[in-house]
Amino acid sequence: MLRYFLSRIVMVVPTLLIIIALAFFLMRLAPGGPFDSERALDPEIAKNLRRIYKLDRPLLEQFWLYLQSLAHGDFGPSLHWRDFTVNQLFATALPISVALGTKAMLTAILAGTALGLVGAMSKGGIGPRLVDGAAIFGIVLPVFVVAPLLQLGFGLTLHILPVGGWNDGAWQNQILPVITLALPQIAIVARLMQAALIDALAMPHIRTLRAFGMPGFHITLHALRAAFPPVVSYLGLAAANVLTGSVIVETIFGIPGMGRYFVDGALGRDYTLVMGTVVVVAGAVLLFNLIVDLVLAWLDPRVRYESRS
Amino acid sequence: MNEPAPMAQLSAAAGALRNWSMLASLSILGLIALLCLIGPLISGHPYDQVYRDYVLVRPSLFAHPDWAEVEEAVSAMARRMHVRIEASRDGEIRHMTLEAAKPIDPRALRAFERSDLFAPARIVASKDEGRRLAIDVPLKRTLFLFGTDANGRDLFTRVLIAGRVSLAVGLLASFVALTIGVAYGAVAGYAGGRIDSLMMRAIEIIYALPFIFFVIVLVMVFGRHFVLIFAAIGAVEWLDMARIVRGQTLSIKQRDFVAAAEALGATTPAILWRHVIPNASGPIIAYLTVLVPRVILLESFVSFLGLGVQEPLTSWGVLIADGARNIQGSIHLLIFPALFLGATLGALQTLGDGFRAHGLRSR
Amino acid sequence: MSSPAKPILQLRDLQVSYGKARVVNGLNLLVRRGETAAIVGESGSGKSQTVLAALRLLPRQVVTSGSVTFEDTELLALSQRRLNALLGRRIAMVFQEPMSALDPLFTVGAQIGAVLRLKAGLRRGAAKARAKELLSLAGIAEPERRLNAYPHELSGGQCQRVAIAMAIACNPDLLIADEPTTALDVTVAAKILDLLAKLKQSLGMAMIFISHDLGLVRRIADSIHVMRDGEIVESGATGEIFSNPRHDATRLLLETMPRARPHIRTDTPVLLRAENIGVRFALRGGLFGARRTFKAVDGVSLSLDCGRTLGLVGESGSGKSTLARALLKLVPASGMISFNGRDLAWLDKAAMRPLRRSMQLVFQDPYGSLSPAMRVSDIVTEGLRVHEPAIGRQERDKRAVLALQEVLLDPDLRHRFPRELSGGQRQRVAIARAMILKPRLVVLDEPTSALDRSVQTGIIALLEELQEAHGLTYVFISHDLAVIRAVADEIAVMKDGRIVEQGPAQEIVEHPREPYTRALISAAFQTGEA
Repeated sequence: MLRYFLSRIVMVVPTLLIIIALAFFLMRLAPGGPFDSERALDPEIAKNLRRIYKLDRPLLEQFWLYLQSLAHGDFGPSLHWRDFTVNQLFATALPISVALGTKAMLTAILAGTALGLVGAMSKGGIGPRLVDGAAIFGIVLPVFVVAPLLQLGFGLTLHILPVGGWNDGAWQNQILPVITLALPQIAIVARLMQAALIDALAMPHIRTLRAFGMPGFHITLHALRAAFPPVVSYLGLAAANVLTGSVIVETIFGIPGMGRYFVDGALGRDYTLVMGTVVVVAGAVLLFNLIVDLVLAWLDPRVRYESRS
Repeated sequence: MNEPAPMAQLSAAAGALRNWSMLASLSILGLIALLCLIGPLISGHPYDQVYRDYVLVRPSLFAHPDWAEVEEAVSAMARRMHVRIEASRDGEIRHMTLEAAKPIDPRALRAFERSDLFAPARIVASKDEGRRLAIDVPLKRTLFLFGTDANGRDLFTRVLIAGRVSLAVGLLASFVALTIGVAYGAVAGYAGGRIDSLMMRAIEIIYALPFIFFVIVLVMVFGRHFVLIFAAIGAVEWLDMARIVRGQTLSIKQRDFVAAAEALGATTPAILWRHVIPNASGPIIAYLTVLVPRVILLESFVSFLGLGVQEPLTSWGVLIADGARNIQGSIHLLIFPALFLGATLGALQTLGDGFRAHGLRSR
Repeated sequence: MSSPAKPILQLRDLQVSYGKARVVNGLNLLVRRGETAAIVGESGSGKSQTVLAALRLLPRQVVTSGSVTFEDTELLALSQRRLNALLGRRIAMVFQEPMSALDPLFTVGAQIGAVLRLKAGLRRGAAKARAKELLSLAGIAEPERRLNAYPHELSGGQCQRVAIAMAIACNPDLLIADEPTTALDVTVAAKILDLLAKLKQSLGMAMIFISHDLGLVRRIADSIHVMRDGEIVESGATGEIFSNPRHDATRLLLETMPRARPHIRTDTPVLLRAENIGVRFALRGGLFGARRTFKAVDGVSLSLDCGRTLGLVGESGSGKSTLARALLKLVPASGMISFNGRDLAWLDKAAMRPLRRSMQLVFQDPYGSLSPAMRVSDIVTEGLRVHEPAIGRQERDKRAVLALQEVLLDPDLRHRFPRELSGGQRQRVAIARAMILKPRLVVLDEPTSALDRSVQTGIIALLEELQEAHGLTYVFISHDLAVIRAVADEIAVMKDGRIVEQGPAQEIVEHPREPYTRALISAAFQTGEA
């Protein structure tokens, strides 16, 4: 298990490095720079600005400098919000996004698993169809449609919950964003869970248990264990989807998280801010995939076995 | 030997339901595509025409203007022209009497022309040296089936034009993804060994960054041009296709019929052409039905954030963003584009599910 | 049996329907205490469905009617709770696929332990001790260590022993074994069969043994019930069935491979000679693990005369299929191969191509060896496209008709897709594809193993006719010595990539030198005819 863990960790670092390099050089290839927006900037001042932000150095040197500061945990100064460093912006934005993301993921896992279980266990085949039908809705209604509808329903019409804003993370302000983020994932997890459980219940080793007259709870337990791996392996993708969704959700609900900064940074050609976001997001996805892999290996002895031989 | 073929009999009922829903999905898709193609031609409104007098009009099956709108427009007109207007209803033509302290300049009547409600006015009689004018003003009938947006543009036309853009991006980007994916996957799968694992490693690396971030970086780099959007989306969405094709190629390569062809002395291109590609086409087509809605969604996503299609051109994502901004009071701006997007995504999803289930059964 | 014992299980008018399709049709069966009853039939005859339906193990949508009485209890009307009280305690079952019948996510000890705790009411400690005991009873060495093993860490035979240990955990009165040896190699299967017979004897259980192989059940069954199309067509004591089969289905099952072919010494030139053939596969090492290699074929030498058949026999994983492909230069191999006096070792792919038409290959699995996307006519004539690209569509079609006629297939089948054909028809198509080029050497890789016995004999007869007519030379690969003996002039026995014994067919079968060969022979001819 330890060896499996180490071999996975070793893969993460070069992957992250390559992504950083890819994003870095791609962005610098682009025509135009971060100071284009200010009209009629004095060429002298522009030159000075470029010198201050070291944009006049050779590209490779810039990359090397960037990596060096990254190694010290320094994302550099923001080119758009010039009074702040990227680290300062992230210091306030990251906790907000993490809070939203983890809550949405937990909601999706718990609600999705529960729905899938109910669907698969229900007698007569109506349950599965119900879950499938509901899941279609989760897929058909994208985040950016659900969010305004929720705002309209709970905020503007019923006046139960605030329409937007973060308000230092008051729970009322978190409910709608978390639900919006979680809904599509609940739909997918429920469908996956249901399908996996139905498959698992038809597996030969479950039939063996039935042939031995084992009690129902014992059979369900074994079916659940067999159904979990496919669901768990989806969670890596779910995390990526939640990150994607959070860009929209933070925009719609006016939440000052990472997603908002990313979009603003992209619109303002803020190299360092976008680079920083890419590093953090890719790091988060890789970390989450690592966790998923470890959970999978813990759940399924065959994964551990294959990695050994 | 244990699991019997009769199981297929049991799923026949489920199959019939699936066929029915696939047919329904196909008709919905066809209807939407047809509407998007010919709708803007017959709606009577260019997609970028601004009706200043019809801002945020509600959707209705009846043509504008109604009586209240005419009243309001007439009184506004009277204020602007500093005249007193008496109007009477008479079908499509209004008879109006204009009264003022000073003689009325007939040129002032052009205000009617400039309005979106009226056709040019005709002077019927002039009394009191032009202080009293009797005019006939025909109404200009305009239909806004889905209402208008905050700029007074016809939403029906705009939803359909947006549909053209979204569907075109969906198809073109999917085609880009298909081409890159099939080529990459087939090469990796056929080469095998070290080349294969290197190529797959590259895909895994790109996978670590969620698509939206990649697309946004690409859009940021290359600008917000229409063509670039589907190039950018296509450039990130080929990954899954490449994986699928590679997996198929690998497994087909292992099958005995390929070994048999090798034993017959068939060349590599012949084997790829006659054996690998025909046998991989099922999963490729099935995945295309997943890919197209995903691309449409991604485009809407990017456009929603203002990074995609630019005004006055529009896509469902842009319209939905617009609707989300005007949600208080003008919910139709959100509902109609969301309905079209949802119906398209749902139909494609159902179709894809059906295809995959079908593929599983026939294997 | 001196006096008839009391009945333990009785099926009356059992019907099983999947929607409109009826797979078991009014079946009656009586099994007495301590008796071993065998249900025998070809695949699809409904024998597994019968016992699964009797124990109510089929999916909910499947309709079962009739009556199933265990002692005096009607099983089909019992509540699930009371049925569960019987299952595992008094009635136990062993399945065909030992690997998938066990839960891959739990250790062997945990699975046997669960049965002991939940069915026999043992406490954790006692259950562990008993599980160890059961494993050694089922013939597993080092039971203490095996308790902590996962199913994938065990071989197929060991898994089946674990499944048997689980089945006898509560000393059941009735053991149902559904093709328990079919998925196993013959030598392993023989040992499992011995184990079942021994356990049955010592525990005094009744047993229902399901198999497609009439020869196999002869040794252990007291009575035999032959099934076809969901019905029992013939029942009787074992001796009676063998000495006096009445129904066609029984006779078809009894039909054994023809006797060994006459041993003729002729002076024909050598067609194929191979010396010191070796094939290695690289195993995927971890990131830091050194790449290891696995020798699939290791220093094999053989020579084969024109017009003769070499039988290559061995169990799964012995390297016989790899050797076959190496002989045709379809996998890279070391060593020397000469075909018709030409050294093949130095020929590259392009230089091999003209030679390919005289050396052909037929595969085991007729489902996998025909491209599902092609029509039969295209499949059969694919070789012509390669070797005679000049001929036109009409001529090709004519040749396809001839080729299909030669393998005794209706030429109209050429417009169909492989999935529309039966297993036997597909194998004939695969043979036609090889024969259309008029090859001199044909390697037959288990050409009959995926087929029912009755179909097998037809294919073998066809192959012998073709050999006669065209003077073909065969390398015939099989795990089944009975088949090999029927077709081969010479036999080579393979184990772990090496040929352990080689010689004229008759000599190998009658006077085997190696213990491994002897084990194979006793497994293949255990019906007592050898």
